[in-house]
Amino acid sequence: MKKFLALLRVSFRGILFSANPSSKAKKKSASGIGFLALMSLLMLYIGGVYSFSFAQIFSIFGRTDLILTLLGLIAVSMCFLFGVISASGFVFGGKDNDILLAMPVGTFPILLSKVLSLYLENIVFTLFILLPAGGVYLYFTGFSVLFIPIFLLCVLFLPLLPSALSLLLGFLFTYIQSKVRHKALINNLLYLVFFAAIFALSFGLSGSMASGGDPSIIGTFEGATGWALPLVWMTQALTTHSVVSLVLFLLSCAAPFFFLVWVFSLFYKKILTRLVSVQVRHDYKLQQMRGGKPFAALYKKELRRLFGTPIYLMNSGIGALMLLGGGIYAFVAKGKIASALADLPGASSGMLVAGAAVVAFCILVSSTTSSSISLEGNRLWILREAPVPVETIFAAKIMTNCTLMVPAVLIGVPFGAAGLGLGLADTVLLLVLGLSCAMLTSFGGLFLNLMWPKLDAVNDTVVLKRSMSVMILTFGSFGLIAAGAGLFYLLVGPLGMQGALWAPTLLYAVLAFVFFLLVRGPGKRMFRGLIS
Amino acid sequence: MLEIRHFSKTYSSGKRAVDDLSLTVETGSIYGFIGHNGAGKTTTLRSLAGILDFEEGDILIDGHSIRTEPVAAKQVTAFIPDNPDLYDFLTGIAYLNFIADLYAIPAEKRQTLISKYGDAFELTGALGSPVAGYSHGMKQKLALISALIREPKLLVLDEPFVGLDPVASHILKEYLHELCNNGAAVFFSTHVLEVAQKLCDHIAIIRDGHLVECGKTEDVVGNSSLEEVFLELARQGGEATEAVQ
Repeated sequence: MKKFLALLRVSFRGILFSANPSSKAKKKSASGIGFLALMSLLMLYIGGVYSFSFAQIFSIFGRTDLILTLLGLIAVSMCFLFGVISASGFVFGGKDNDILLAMPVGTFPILLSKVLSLYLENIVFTLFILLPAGGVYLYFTGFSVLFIPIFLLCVLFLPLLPSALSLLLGFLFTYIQSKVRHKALINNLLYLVFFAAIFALSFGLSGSMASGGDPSIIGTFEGATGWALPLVWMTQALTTHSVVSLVLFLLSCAAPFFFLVWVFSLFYKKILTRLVSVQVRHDYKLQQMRGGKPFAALYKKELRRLFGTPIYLMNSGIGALMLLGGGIYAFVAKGKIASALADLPGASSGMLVAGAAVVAFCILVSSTTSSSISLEGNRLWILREAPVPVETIFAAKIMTNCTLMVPAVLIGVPFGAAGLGLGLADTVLLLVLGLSCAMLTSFGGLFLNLMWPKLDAVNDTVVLKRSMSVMILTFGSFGLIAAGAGLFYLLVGPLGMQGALWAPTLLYAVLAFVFFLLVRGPGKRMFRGLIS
Repeated sequence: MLEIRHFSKTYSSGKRAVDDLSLTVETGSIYGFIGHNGAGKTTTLRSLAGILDFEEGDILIDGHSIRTEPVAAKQVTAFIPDNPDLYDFLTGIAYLNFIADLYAIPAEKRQTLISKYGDAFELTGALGSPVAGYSHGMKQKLALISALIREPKLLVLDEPFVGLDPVASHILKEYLHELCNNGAAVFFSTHVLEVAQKLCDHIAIIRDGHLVECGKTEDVVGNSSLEEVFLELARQGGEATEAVQ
């Protein structure tokens, strides 16, 4: 037991305290807690928005209890979304596997400690998603003492489900990657399908929320969540205090979790051995070579890393993919959109604002540069030793981000604008907005990464999911969108809709220029001061 | 070829890793740099390769200051760290091409040199595979090939023989001599004192960041062995520390 607790402590510290590169424990701990606090705030926001919006609809039909099922589903989905990538990285891709497997400890406690560290993180997220749901439910139905202990049990047991699912899917992704030749391509496709499914579910929920007071929503919702028996039992236990439902819920969460961990522990060593066995062929013959410029070499290297590391592409390119996919979808579904807009008076005039919000969100929320310095890790010496000016190294990194973002803007925006029925002037505005955002994340992301580099991460997952620069860029983008929205509402009266939207566009362009100056000046000094 | 002038390096933690180090490595020389763990060897090597920033003193490579003319100094230098982490997502040949592009090595020349060193280190056949699958020794060989194809005027190596098999070690020693015969210089750190004594024409010994001995190998070693000299200096250092305390 002592050995297991020691392993669990190390695993959890590895996840929690990985945001900051500093060796000072206090600072590390503060940044780890900061990360959890930021994520918790995000979960609280999601939980709050969905709880209040749906409670108002469900309470009309006397089914406020459904928000517990709904928020339970959202909690499982969110934990699953974050957990799959973490499971691939921490459980199957950790650099500490050699050390751990050499220790006189069985594979079950090793695997359990790793999965439980994911589970502990999921508890925090689940708590902050379910807390508003519980509060809203009690507000609408009245306080019940028994609700509290059952609610706490639900918070403790529900995260076991996404942890088990993450373990399963994380293994499948990693296994497929180890079996196929074009592993990066296959993994990119797998992640794409996975994210598309999650977004489709999220859009479906938003769609049903928009359907407002239609009574069929209850039947539709029950039909859509009826398959998720643990969530149905959880709701019954919370609302009717049924012991049978509670026991069924607890068992349905714990049993698959421990069963999966046990099964995987039987083959853990075999799985890891297969994953680390990369075959080296010895039949290569030198072919005619071509020389190239240093910038091209650095740029190609960055692109190879981006497209050869699925988690990197998915994390930093998801916004661009959403914009591209969304724009083309809007164009294809032009007729449907037009008829929907015709049914909603005044909706078509808001399409420009909605389009601007989508463009800003998709481009601002992700960036390759916010992690590209950290991803150099122990390989930083190669760049530091090379006879190449720092500006060239930066230019290659910035160009990589632009390669992903600029085509997404140039293709996604005109298609999307045409789909939404926007005119030429509106399309130009959205294009300039998208390009300003792309420049801002390119320079801003790089500067943030120079400020908070994470060069000692145990794997890429830690850099991409937990490092401070990535977190600040993601959450900072929400702040930027809020600032842009504030400017718009201040100016929409005197300048009109289109005129007011130029204000956030200019704000992002000016900020991009400020970060450009920062990267050129202090950024170069910061790069020279990096120690890997 | 290499001139280190009053070089000192203090880390942000306050630790003074190297204190007022000065030495010169002449063209054609193989210079060994030895010292105990934490003596300041790696800090010195990384600083002269342009990887670590420093504030005190200067380091000149082929007349170019690594502080004020880093690109010119790096253009004639090749550095290999003790545990070379390379880009796992590249194949061996893609990595060599990447390095060759950074150092502007013409296509024809890089082909000849990669073939020469790849065959010598028996790595050519594996160059089409991703670096992720390479063993530690193969990565070490790839890093060495990437250094040698640059035909550097100054080759800086941190523990180059760790992880190399005996054949590869032997080949490396031959190439170090070849480089020096062609007008380059080699500056390397090692803990293998027998190798240092046999291979180097000059030796420098560093202890707690201070240069305690340097000169021609025969002058430093005298009638004893390098191991005896090193142990004696280490003993003196320990006694001096105790006396201070």
